[in-house]
Amino acid sequence: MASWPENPRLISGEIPRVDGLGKASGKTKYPSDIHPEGMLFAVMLYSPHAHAKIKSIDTSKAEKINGVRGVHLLAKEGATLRFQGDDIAAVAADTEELALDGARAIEIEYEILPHVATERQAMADDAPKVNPRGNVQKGRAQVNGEPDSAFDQADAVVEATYSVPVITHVCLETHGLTARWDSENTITAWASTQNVMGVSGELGGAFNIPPTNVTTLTEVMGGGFGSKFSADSWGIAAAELAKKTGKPVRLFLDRAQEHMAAGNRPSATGKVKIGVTKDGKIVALTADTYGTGGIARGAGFPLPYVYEVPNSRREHSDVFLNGGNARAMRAPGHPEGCCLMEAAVDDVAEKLGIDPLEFRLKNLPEGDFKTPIYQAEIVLGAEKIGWSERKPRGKAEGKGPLRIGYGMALHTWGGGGAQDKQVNCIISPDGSVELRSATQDIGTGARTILAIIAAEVLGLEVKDVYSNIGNSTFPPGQASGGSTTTPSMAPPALNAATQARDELFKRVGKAINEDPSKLSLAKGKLLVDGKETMSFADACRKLGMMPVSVTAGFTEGLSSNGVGGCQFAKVEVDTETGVVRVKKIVAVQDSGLILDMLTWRSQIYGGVIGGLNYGLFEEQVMDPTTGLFLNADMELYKLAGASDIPEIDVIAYHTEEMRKRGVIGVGEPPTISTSAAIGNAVSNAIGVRVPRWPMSPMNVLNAMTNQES
Amino acid sequence: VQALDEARAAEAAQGPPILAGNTSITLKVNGQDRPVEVEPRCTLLDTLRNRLDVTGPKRVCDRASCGACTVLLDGEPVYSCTTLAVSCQGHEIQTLESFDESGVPTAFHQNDGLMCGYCTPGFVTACKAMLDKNPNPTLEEVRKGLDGNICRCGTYIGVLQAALDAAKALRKEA
Repeated sequence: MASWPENPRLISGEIPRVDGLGKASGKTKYPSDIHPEGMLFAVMLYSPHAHAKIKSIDTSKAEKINGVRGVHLLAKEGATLRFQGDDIAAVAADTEELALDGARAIEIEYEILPHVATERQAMADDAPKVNPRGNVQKGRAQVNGEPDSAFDQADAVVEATYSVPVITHVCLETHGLTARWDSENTITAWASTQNVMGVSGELGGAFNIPPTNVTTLTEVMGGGFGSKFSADSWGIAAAELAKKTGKPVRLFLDRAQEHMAAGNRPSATGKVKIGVTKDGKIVALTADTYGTGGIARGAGFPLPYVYEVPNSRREHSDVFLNGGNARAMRAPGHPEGCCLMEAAVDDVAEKLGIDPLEFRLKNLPEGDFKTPIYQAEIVLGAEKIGWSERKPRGKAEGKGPLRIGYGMALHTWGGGGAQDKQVNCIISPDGSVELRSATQDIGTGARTILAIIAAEVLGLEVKDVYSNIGNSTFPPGQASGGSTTTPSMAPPALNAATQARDELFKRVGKAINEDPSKLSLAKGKLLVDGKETMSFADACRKLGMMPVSVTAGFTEGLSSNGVGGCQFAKVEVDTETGVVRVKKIVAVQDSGLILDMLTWRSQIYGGVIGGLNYGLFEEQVMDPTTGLFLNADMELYKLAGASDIPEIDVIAYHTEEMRKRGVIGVGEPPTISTSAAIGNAVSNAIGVRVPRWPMSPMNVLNAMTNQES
Repeated sequence: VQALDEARAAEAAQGPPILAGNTSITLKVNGQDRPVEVEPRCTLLDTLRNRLDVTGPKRVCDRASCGACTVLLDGEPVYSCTTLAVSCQGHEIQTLESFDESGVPTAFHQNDGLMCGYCTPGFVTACKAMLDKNPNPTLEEVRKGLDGNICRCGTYIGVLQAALDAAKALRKEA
């Protein structure tokens, strides 16, 4: 059985991604760039209202426009549109401009219905119902121990309400696909997806053809972050239009509908009560929480989070309103739970007068395998951020109106893989090596990881291996979600490459009259008894006409599950304007065996910057009066630019013990605790908790004003 | 008042201005003359992507906020999503496909200044334009030079490193 090499040549090195130059030179074709012969352009028409019924819809004028080739209705007469951005129709035309003309020419009479666009509106007693079962749906209370009586043992209690807003994924390549019918029952779909197999399954289902008749291709794609698992209504509409017109159809959302309809991370608000003893142990926590995922459920999140809480009660409600539906977003639930928990932990440590770092160390769960990992990571991070410079809350220093603050937070994630995925390794007689699997690279470097593994095993360079993924017809591969891609795909890649190598040895050994056990591969050469005898390519020629092709699956021991991680933030707050500048972030992360240090570090940077956006800038703004999404663009929906990026120190906790755990995914963990750490740093700087994220000037000044009054 | 009346009368005699319908133009893209049928409302970006199959520049915000569509117009970086194609006749349009791969693109690749890569063409183009003007930028100048671009994956650290590395390599070459 294969195992990770003890002294790897490539694994854990700094290896640039194999598809990087194609992307950086503009030559790689994204799904939204593909232009098959005769292709039509399609656009979506979507609801301009927060809540309305379609009384009548007339497409005749649209269909008469010269160049408009097809109109497909997703909402018919009598249908209810549940949010601004809800699907109405798709129009295909010779040019995108004509398709837009077509969409505009569709005549619709609406019956405007009363809406609820904010949680406050949705939770009002007389609110119009978005969901027939009510706008506020309370789950069953989760109780652990005796929370009510446990508060009697507490020496300090903090009770406060914290909240984080709805944010959207903002994938730079919008959702969509280009569909072509190759025969009456086969489709090729170039889809911007993190799940090629899922898209094939859905398109097959929609047209009643086998999923294997749908070839979904995703060579590269422009970001997903959890929102691109599905073919989606618009993808099916593109295939409908392609069928109707007999031509390939490209349909990608516009930026506004991308914000409104293609997913979001739910909000979270929690009234949290936490009690601790004077020696700094948490004894009880109760929390009443709610959040909204728009018209959809799914606003749950973990709480308590990370720390040992012997007595707790948690009651959570999902709030329904006229907004686009939530989708999984990078570490679903965790950033929300982390912000609320870490704010409460910080506030109660403050009240008790204990250094919040010491307080955290005292409350790590005893006996948990992650506790020693956290302990080690906290020491490394504290040193790097300069925690000893931190002043107690309210005593922060700085020039003029500026105040420097320090904060920290911990997080956790699974990141284990699936055990049912496969990789096919093909060694051809011309010496080329190809890996095939129906997984895809969402931008994390999955393609590169697979090439590194095969090159390591076959004594080749990474460039010598063609990592062929993003094709749904290949052996089953993992969807890119939950930080599971690498732990799902790396073990079968190692097994396939190892078994293919052994098969190569067997057949080449026979051809050159050597015992296969004497053969090995290094530096692009075949070795017999450790002596170079011929090039890898010459050895492969001995295969004759028949390539080596091995498809292998998962085996135990190559991957693992469960990570810790901690982050520290140093911020500077202008107490007159409320502007927060993040000066430095330190991110310490474990994730088992790291396969490519360069792309791994990029994942951490990316996670941290995502968390910085969540901490400082991002917020979906809904207008209570009109029910509309006011900032569905990239001007007023704020994201960090180059000048907003602080110094970021990434520390890989990559000890021998961690490497022995095997591979674990790292996509989600590093984005979880950044915003919590920034929130804690801001409160340390200004001496008062800012209970609402993001740490915008408005929220910071409001918190300071409330404190004064 | 009389002059205004005369001008209005002349305008009325000419009939309404033609704002719709196809027109043939020739754009000079990456050194090649490319004849193309466009409507007056077609943006340079959509013309490049949809009509000329020049897909390096990407459409992301479509409103001059994010920089993914950046191309060079007579050497100056412009947001092609808010530039009309008809206004670009007689100008040199350069997209990143024409850049020397061993320069800025290689620096982005080697420093992993990209992940999903969809913002990358815009960053590479803005970076090239910046270095053409200022071959020896400070870190602060690099930040300012790239502030017209947005990345969602969060590759900025690699991007800054790539820009500085590219500057160094280009100076050595010069």
